[in-house]
Amino acid sequence: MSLTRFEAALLLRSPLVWGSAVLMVALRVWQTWSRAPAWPEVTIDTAYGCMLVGAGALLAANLAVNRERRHGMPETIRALPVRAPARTRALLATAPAVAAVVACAATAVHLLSLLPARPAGRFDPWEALTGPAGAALCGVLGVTVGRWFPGPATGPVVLFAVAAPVELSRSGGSWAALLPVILRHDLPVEINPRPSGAHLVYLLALIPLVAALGMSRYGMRPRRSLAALAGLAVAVPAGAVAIAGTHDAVPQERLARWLTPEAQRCRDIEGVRYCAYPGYEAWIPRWTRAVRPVIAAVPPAARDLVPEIRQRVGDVSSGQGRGTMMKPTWPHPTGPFFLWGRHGTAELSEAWLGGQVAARVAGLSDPEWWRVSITDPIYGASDVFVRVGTPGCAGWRQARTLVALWLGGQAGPVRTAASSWAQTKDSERPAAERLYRYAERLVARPDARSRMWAHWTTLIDPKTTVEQALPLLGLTPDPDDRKDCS
Amino acid sequence: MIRTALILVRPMLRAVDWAPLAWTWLASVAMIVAAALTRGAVVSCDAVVLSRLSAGAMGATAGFALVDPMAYGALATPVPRWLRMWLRTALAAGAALAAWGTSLALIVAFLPHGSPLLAGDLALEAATCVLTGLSGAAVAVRLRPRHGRSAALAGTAAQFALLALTLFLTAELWLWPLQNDPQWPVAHRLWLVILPLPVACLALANGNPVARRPARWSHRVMTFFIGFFPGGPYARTKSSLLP
Repeated sequence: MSLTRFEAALLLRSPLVWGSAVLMVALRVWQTWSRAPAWPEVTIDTAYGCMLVGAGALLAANLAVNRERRHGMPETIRALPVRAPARTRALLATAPAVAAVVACAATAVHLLSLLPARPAGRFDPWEALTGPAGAALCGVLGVTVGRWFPGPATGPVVLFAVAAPVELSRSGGSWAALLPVILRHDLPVEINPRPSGAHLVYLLALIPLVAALGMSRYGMRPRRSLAALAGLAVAVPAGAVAIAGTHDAVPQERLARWLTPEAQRCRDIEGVRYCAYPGYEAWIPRWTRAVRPVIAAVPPAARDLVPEIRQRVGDVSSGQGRGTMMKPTWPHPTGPFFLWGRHGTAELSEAWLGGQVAARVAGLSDPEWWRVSITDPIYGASDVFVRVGTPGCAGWRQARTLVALWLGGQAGPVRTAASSWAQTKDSERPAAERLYRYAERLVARPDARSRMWAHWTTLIDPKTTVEQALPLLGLTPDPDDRKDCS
Repeated sequence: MIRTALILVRPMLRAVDWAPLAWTWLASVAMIVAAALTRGAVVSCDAVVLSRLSAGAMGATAGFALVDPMAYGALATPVPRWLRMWLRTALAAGAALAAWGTSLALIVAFLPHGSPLLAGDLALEAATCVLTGLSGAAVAVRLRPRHGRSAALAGTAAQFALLALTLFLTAELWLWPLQNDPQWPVAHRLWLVILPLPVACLALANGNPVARRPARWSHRVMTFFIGFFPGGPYARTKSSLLP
């Protein structure tokens, strides 16, 4: 017992363990700094962050178990009454406990620090505990491999052998459920169910199994065999359940349900209907902040043009390494995805959503952005892109496009707002740039709103051209205007 | 001097502990083969990840080649320390990069037909990783020459630190983009900027021991950082090549 206490104190003092915990918290704070937090995503990434603590614990435990082979320790240790099995047992008990406690503390610090930001989504405690369980597994692994393969290089090599499959699992495969953390997830995470409970049980069952393997260096004893068999008996079915519960593609019926309006919960605020998926209502005030300035700039008579703001599913996995955009079943989809900025990037998100509302109010046609996004599986899912579409050359000549740009400019920078509905091709860039400049001048003018309201019906008429609109808005044409567009 | 170096190469090849590097190479080859067998091929994005991880692992274990159990005894020999250490460094870096190269060749062999792989840029990353690992180990064997083989784990720590610090670099400074990322060329210019840092560190650590002079600032810096080097109560051997 005193040996266990001694080893625990040494491990806790090891800069590898507490240093990696500090590093993990710092890294997670940095990574979540500019994103509005959502529990499902945050817990998965924090569980992966715990692997840093696991790596530190693995190296520290490996150093501890190899200690007796360094610096003339063999002679000293031979004189002691406590033999190697007892020392190993103490380390096998200590290393996972210390790793789990430190990882738990780091996870708790990080998750609690996010509470003031009111994270959205459902909190899955099993997912959050996966991190500490994985760290504990790494700790016990460090002792076991240290006993079987003594030598200082074992730690780094085992670390590589653990890290490589975890990183490779990003591109899919249900075998990822056998790794310490199931890294791959969809956005929203909830659309693709994850076997978090079974995975946690599997990880916990591996700990006695690996520990028994470590002790079996000193021969198989009934208790060791029993621990190994019990671990195996739990780990195999739990692992099988976890594998069965990990889907490469989002189940079809689930996807269909998510793409209907009934899946959302709506709330009317200031005359606008906001609909969010369950758990994400906490983000509605953030969306309101984006939409409010745009609506304030729309003449009261035209406010019935303001669309419903419905949260949208982004790209979801549809098989190994492939993703696809999903078109919801409601018309004129306007709304945010499952991402929102924070600390300096919230303004960009607001401009992006405000721009969409502006385009809808000005009557711009829906861009063809839902068509395809399935990429070549050779290059993996990282290549998935969203085609936003463009109003086309005809659109860049219309006054209502300028109205949409100005309205979007109420929510944030004109170009950011426009990026939500216009992704210009190189051949139309001069025509688009010209309108962006006019819109930026308009946003800066104090009389722009009164002029817009006075000529609203003319301006949003598709037949009105930009040239006809400029005098109405009090703008003089740029001398170096380039309208070329093809 | 060149002739001395050439004479030293063969005994040094025998003296160096190659086992850690060999194990790492074996693990990386096994991982590549396993990835190729389970997926049918190694796709480009997996290839980049595998190449980086094996470069990191090689860097983490290459430092064992710098540990010289005769570090004190050899001080009396006419061959200067810097020559012996640089020779060791060159052998270790060469072996680690050769091992990484064979891993990359294996990856290329498993790539689907027609997939691009920017091997030159990946080699730049690998060289930086290996030299970072070596520089950590070089500092450790200089400050704790009697520490034994585990001093080389400072190389692993340096490698770990490189990885951890680069994770904080985001957006335009992100150093680990995938090949189809527009960030790729920018990141590799950054890698080129980072490369001299471990070389400078190696130049500091591989020099001759300084005799009977107040500690140079470079040694003070190294002593400060090595203060954090993990090793428990047994690391406190006061033997050092410092004055």
